Amino acid sequence: MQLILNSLASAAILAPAAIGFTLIFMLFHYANFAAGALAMSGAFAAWSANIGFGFPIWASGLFAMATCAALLVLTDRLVFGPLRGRSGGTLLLVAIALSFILENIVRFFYGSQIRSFDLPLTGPTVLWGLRFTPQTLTVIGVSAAATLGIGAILAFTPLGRGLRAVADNATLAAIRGLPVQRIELAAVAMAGALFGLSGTLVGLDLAIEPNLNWALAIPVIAAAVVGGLGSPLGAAFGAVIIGLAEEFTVAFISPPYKGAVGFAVIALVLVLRPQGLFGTAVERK
Amino acid sequence: MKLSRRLLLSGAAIALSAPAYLRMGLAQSAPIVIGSMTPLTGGGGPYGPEKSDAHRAVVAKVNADGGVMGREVVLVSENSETNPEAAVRAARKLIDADGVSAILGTWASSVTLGIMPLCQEADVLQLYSGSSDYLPDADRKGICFNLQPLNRAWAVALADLAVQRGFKEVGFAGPKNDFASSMGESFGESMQKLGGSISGEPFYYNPDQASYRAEAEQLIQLDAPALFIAGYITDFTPMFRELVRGGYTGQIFALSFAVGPEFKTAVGDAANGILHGSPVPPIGKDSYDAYLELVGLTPNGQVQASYGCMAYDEINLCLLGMEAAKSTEAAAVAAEIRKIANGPGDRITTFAEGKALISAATPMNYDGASSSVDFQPNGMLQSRDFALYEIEDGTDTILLTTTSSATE
Amino acid sequence: MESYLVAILTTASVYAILAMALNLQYGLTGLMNFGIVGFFGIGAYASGIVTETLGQPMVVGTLAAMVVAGVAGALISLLSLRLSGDFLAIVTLGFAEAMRLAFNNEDWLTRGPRGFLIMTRPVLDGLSREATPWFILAVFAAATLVTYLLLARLARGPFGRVLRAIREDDLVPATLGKNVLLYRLQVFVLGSAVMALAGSFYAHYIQTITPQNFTTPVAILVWMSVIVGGAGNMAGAVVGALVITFIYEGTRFLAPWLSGLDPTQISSLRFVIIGVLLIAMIRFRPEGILPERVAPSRRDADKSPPPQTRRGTT
Repeated sequence: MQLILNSLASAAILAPAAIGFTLIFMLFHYANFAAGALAMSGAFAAWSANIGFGFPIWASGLFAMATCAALLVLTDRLVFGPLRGRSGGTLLLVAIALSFILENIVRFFYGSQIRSFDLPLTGPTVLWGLRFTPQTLTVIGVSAAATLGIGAILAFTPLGRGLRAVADNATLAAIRGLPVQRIELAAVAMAGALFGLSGTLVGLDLAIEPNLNWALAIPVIAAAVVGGLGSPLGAAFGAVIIGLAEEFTVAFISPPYKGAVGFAVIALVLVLRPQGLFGTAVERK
Repeated sequence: MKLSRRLLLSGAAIALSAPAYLRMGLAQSAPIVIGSMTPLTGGGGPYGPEKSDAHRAVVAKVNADGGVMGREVVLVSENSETNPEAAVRAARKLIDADGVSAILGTWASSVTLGIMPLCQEADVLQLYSGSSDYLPDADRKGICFNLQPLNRAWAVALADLAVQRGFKEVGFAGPKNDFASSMGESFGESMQKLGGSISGEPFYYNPDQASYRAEAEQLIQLDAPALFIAGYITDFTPMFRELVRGGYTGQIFALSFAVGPEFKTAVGDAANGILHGSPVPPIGKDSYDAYLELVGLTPNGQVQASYGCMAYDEINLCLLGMEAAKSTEAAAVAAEIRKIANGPGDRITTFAEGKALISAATPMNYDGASSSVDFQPNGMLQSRDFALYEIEDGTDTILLTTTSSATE
Repeated sequence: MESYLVAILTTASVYAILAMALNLQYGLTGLMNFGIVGFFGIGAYASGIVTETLGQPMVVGTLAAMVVAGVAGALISLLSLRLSGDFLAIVTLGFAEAMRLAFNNEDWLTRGPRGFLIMTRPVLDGLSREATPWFILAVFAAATLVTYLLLARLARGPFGRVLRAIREDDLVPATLGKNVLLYRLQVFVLGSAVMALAGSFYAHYIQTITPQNFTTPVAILVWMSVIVGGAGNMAGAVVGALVITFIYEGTRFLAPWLSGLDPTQISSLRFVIIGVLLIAMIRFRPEGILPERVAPSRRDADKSPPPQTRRGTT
């Protein structure tokens, strides 16, 4: 019904970022809280391409993905790389600090006023009693494609296999001759691109402004945790679960507490099934 | 390394504060220091810069024309972060380290109320825009002035405008913040008094969310012929998008500061037909246009910079009050501000005009860019004239006006 | 200028108390508690409600605040028994957010976003206007000192040793017969109560509290205080709070040198500086200004474990 369609649409926006978050966690074993800030930067990058350079929205999205990939690689090199080996908690704190820094760098250059893409706002088509817009379909489609794409890469390509090996045990992978550095670089770039994709999708719905990083970080993490931190596809599914839970809360329980739902779900999952719905028990620092 | 950094910062702080001590001695030729505290980050982020710009533009012009009482006006800007915690510390710095005589520009009522105890204690004037019902009582010394109508006035006015426009049943939705959180009840009561009703219960939602689809869906389910959404631009924009995408075809009522130029750019033609309310003036009024030109905006038939024009009036009144009182002492300045704002006297709209009349000892009446700016004894606006606009092809056309009958 | 410094020191002492509580939980026991502002807020609102709505004196308010927060801490602890590290962080963050939403929406109790006005102050009647801020500072400083003495004592004694052992690897104390979960519970409850103490004092000092006073950035400042000051060292927590407060306030004074930028940019730059400082600190001096002094009889305090070691906590 409409509720499910709406949940899918909300989930579709966050799913790529959740997958990216999971990739980082699989490889480096820390929660990259800056996912929200990176997605927000992606939104601004897409906006700059769309309004500043006049690209159509799909090209702006690609631009955003490229920008965020570069941004994540840069932060990994500068910030997280030297701190490899520290505890997950420390890295979480660093990620939060990074989130602050990114938010304010964006604010420094763009200011606090809201921005939007150059797209018309139209009403829905009604089919079988369901209301949706072409945009909804595109968002869900693109997101699903990205999810399946990543899943395919992980399952079928040498890169994917290498990634899973490195995630499992980096030292062993290196001994076996895998180019760990390059695999990590590719994975980080992929995760960055996913953050950029989410950012572009977010920009379609929300007012683009620097404060977005806080609004996005928690749902993304919630989705990833629910799905299981070892499984990228699980993250996408987790996004759907969170979306459903939120719609449910607003429709039947209490609208203002929608924000707490993400956490409640995380807590439930962590207490009842710590490996998430799809993950295997992941080693954490 | 850390110790010397700390010393450097403390040293810098002390060095910068030294002039404050000096200022106290050389009263006559020392500059007048005024604090501009606006929300540059946080929920009020979209609205802070226009207030800050208005303050700075006026101060620059006044200084170029010879200052106040022949003294230079120094404006110190701080970020309230739309957060009372941070604002209190910023206010402390403004009051104690910079020695300001007035703090202008606070936007969130929680921030204004948060710093009021400090300002009252230090006899620091406050001119601000706020809507909370707590504001009048918190000012014990009569040194605070509010350039925005209170909460209830907005609700009553919008209800009146809706009913006049033929909408007897209107649903209410608002973010849970200090502006809208009690507006639902006032709006409902007003609708009932006018023979209408509110659809269902007031619907409150959280601003700063990743998606508003669920909330919009709830509102669509209400099946109301009209919806009044009392949000700010950051949450109104996505909410409106979701309503349109969800297929809502009823009438949307909003507040003018939520549907400014950035909103119209964001949603394009879909904005046409939105009805929004705002205190009268500004469109077409000479003082409003003068303000726009001063800060580098062009009058374009839209209600823009709704808070900036209030800030323009804040700083004008503050400086005029000081010029008239020939002092920066809060009570004296406040008394002058009342006379200048309320009149009766010759109409003035800028500092320069007022200064001329002060020298000629002629009574005057300041007519502002955001409203006619007449104050009640408690510092709140007297006038509760509101206008209803309709968005047509990217401009705001005025449809009708009303005087809100809400008390205080 | 001196009133400004008095006010800053008063605020810093609130952060010092919060930092010491967090130090107990994270520095000593390795619990990543990001729910600080939840307990801080509970303390503030509970104390406010007890003194304003129920008309009790401030002492009762503070005690009530500590009790309520202690109970909340116990509940959270029970909920998150098996969690550690970043997961505990996320769940406690969720608790803080849920509390903020509750403060915001349950306005029949908390007056919601419009703010809760508190008239009761920690002052003696009849004090002059000039003396009041100093008196308040003295009260806060005394509270900080008492908290420090108590917690430092705790840290030095057998209780503290067990906590540190739990932090390093909770298997060891368990095999030695220590009920690890009970210790975690105690640490949570005690820490929450101390945070609520800070909350109560804070509320009666600033006199208007809104849900926006209790947001994540405050928690981040407390975390920074602990990390920068030195996790595991109580005095470090206090020093850290002072340093962080001075840096936060000190960067305001950079504005005159940055006159080419507009206020929004200056503000953004300040926060970038603060964030970069934190990361630099973690990178170059992770043990903080005052490193934890480990008694020589313990094994080498190696703070950077090799990647393969399975650690649930630090």
